[in-house]
Amino acid sequence: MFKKFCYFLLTLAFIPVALGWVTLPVQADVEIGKPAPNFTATDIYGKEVKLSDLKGKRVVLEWTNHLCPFVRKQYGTGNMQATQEKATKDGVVWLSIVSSAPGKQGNVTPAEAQKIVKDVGAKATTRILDPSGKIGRLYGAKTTPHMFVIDKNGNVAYEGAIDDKPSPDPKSVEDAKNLVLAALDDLDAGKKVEVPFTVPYGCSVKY
Amino acid sequence: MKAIKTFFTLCATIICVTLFSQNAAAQDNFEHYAHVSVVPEKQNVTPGETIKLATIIDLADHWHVYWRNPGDSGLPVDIQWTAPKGFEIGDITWPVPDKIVYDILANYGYFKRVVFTQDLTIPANMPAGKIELKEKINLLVCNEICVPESYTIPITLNDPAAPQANNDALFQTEAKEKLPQKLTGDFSFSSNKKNLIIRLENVDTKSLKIGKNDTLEFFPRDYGIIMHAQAPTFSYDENSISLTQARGDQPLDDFDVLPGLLVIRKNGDKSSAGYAITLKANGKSLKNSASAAAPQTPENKTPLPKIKTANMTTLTALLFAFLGGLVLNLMPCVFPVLSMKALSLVKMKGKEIALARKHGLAYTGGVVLSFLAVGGMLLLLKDAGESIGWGFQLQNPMVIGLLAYVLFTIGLNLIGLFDIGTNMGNVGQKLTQGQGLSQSFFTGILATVVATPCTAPFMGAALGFAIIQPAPIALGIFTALGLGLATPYLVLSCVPATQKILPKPGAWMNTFKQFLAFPMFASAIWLVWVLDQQSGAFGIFLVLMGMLSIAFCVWLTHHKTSGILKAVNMLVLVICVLIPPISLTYLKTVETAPQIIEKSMEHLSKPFSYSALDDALSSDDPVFVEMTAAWCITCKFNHAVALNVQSTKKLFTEKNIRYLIGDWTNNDQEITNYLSEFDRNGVPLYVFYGKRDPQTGKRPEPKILPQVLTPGLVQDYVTK
Repeated sequence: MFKKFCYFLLTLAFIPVALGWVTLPVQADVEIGKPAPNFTATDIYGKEVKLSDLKGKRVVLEWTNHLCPFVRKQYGTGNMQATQEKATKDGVVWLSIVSSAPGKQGNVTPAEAQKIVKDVGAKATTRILDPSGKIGRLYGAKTTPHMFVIDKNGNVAYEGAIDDKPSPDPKSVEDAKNLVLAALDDLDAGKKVEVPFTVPYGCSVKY
Repeated sequence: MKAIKTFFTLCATIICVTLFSQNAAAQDNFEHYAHVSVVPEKQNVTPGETIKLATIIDLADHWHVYWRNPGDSGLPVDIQWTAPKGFEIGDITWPVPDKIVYDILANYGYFKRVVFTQDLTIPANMPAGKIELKEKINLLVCNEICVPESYTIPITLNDPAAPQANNDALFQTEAKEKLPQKLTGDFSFSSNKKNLIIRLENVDTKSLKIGKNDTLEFFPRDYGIIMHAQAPTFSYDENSISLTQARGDQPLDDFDVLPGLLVIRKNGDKSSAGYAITLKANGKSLKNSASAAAPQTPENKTPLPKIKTANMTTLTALLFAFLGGLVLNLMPCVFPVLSMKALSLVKMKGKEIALARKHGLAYTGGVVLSFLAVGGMLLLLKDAGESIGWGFQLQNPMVIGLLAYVLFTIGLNLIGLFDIGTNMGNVGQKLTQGQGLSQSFFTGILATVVATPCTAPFMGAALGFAIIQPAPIALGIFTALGLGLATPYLVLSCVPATQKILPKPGAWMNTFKQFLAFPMFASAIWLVWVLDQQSGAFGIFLVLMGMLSIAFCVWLTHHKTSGILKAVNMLVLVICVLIPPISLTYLKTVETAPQIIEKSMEHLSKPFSYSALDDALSSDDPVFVEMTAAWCITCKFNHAVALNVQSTKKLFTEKNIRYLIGDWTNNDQEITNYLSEFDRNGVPLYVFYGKRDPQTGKRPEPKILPQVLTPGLVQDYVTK
């Protein structure tokens, strides 16, 4: 009896500590110039994507949610598709990531996602569904869109907004400066990215 | 107005319902979560005067619009005016927003109804007749999902046909009541690689009426200054406030000032009051001192210049960890556990001795596994960005209370108040049945649990090293520590020759066993004292009641009863068993001023904070920093024998040494940061900054003192 009680108490001793660990939000660890955190995921076509396998190529991560007005501004005007096309033609691997949790806005099945990609004519390399928000939290993705550019050595070269016009108004695309293309151009020219960090804007990622 | 609002809310609700039942893709056909109206302070204006314009936004339930710093997503409310030539429109006044936390993200915004005001200055050459102005407002209205809305609202002044409305209630009361208030004082910030550290001095904190469960927070005007979703840590006394918030993405180097709001959040939720404050960078001088961490910027990615950490290699770290583990055996709370374990060997005879080895291994397994468990947890928490260090378990009053129960219960057992089934003294009898093995394993766990408060010498450096290593090496160091703790018993049980040093069994063993209860009780008393500093008098009451229940339980189980009395007995027993764990859950950390600084040292020392350190370092005097905690025996010992003694106090006074004491009894972000600058993550830590060289204007590199101090040692370091 006593022995069991004693063990019970001992087991209890670790509960507060364990709880403290479980309830902590996982924090992003992305820093400009530092290695981009690795992840492995299955894309909407069932193919495995491993970030570390893409070393030697420039990689763009785009957080997206097809129902967010800011994303719709980009895809509705064709701006995002044009950016993707230009980048991928240049050898960039472009991964669109959907971190919407089940039941939240933008959460889709792989089949639905394939249809969305087809309907809007997205030109990204592929699209990844991240309903657990694991990749999103790993990168601290805050908004849709939220962009990350990774250089050939696997280091984060740019983090932030797609362009410099934080507005849902489609007209704002016209005279906006595309910050992702600018970062890719800098990398292409072997230069340091001139603007490595901007404030991302858009809807919140629906974790 | 009220009727409109009700109608509007109703509409919004209907829209909501329709929206969610329909294809969500059609959502932006509904632009009606916000209702905007614009009201001038008065209808008829005269040349040269300045009046106010109010923009009122009414929102559907649960929907919000954003503050000027929207936080991690969203867009600020955007108002543009079109006015005839010569009319000037001032900046928007932003009421205090609420903080809206959503998973790892947080926003600052307004729910229900918000009123923005702007000044309108009428030119001296005001045109005759009606004056027409137009407001264009762009809103992002969100409730998990976001809908952009924009409106164009015309207003007309000097229109004889317009009805004269009395807007006093709107302008004099409503528009003002939520505005940030003024606060006087000296406000500054500094930063290290992880945190923004805010210090508000000369503030009349009584006037802020901070409630018991309220939280204090800084809402920065700009994005990227802090991690918006992370809860701040704060403390305050009569005239100052300290706030620490995790840093955001922006490098703080470029900021000389940080404007924002000091917000009191009622029960950590809705903002109850906000004060406009501008923080001045005092990190600049800190940055120049050797102790400060250079904030990380994209250009400056090189790791901080670490202050030398005794060039620790993995091998020496392992060795130190092992030695530290060995020394733990002598600590007052561990010693009785180990003694009883060792004495059980004395009783063994014949083939039992062969089993002894198994016991030694089981005990070692228990110790090493629990060290790995605590170490692994530490690494995981660290990985998750939590600023903690070795001994972090003891910063939780629940753990302290639980340890007190465990020690008290063991004490009761040792003294012989109860003797049910097996206990530590008579393992021998059970050995042949092999049942004792699990007990040996749990004794190992118990030894680790009771050993944690004592960061023995050698361990600090090794653990500090462990924490910055990749996980396998770090866990290796924790294993070495566990092996150190387990070694004495392991050797005794595995090498029969060593058992010869143990005395012959006899009646004295029982007496010795009873005697060992007293160090246990002493350790329990000490933990209750620690608890006083964490949870106050109420915490002590709870834990003592828990102990009473344990003793009562033990007494109850001794009474043979029958019939109805037996049922009653069982019921009471169940209640009694429940009291100790339940009372633990009510233990809370209370904010107390550091009590650890004894009265006799008060005039000599100051509590540690980065601003106090900065202040001290900006002088020419030498500075001595002591990092301690009530639950750290080594710290208390050093303090008593080497620091709080006449010779050292005299030395400190003579040399004008500025003496700062940091109390880590409860988790303190600033202290954790300071420790990490020296690659430590546990107390004690003693650092001496030599006095400024009058020729070069520089201080020598700060010196780290050993973890065991003597007055002579302190003198050597301070005078060298």
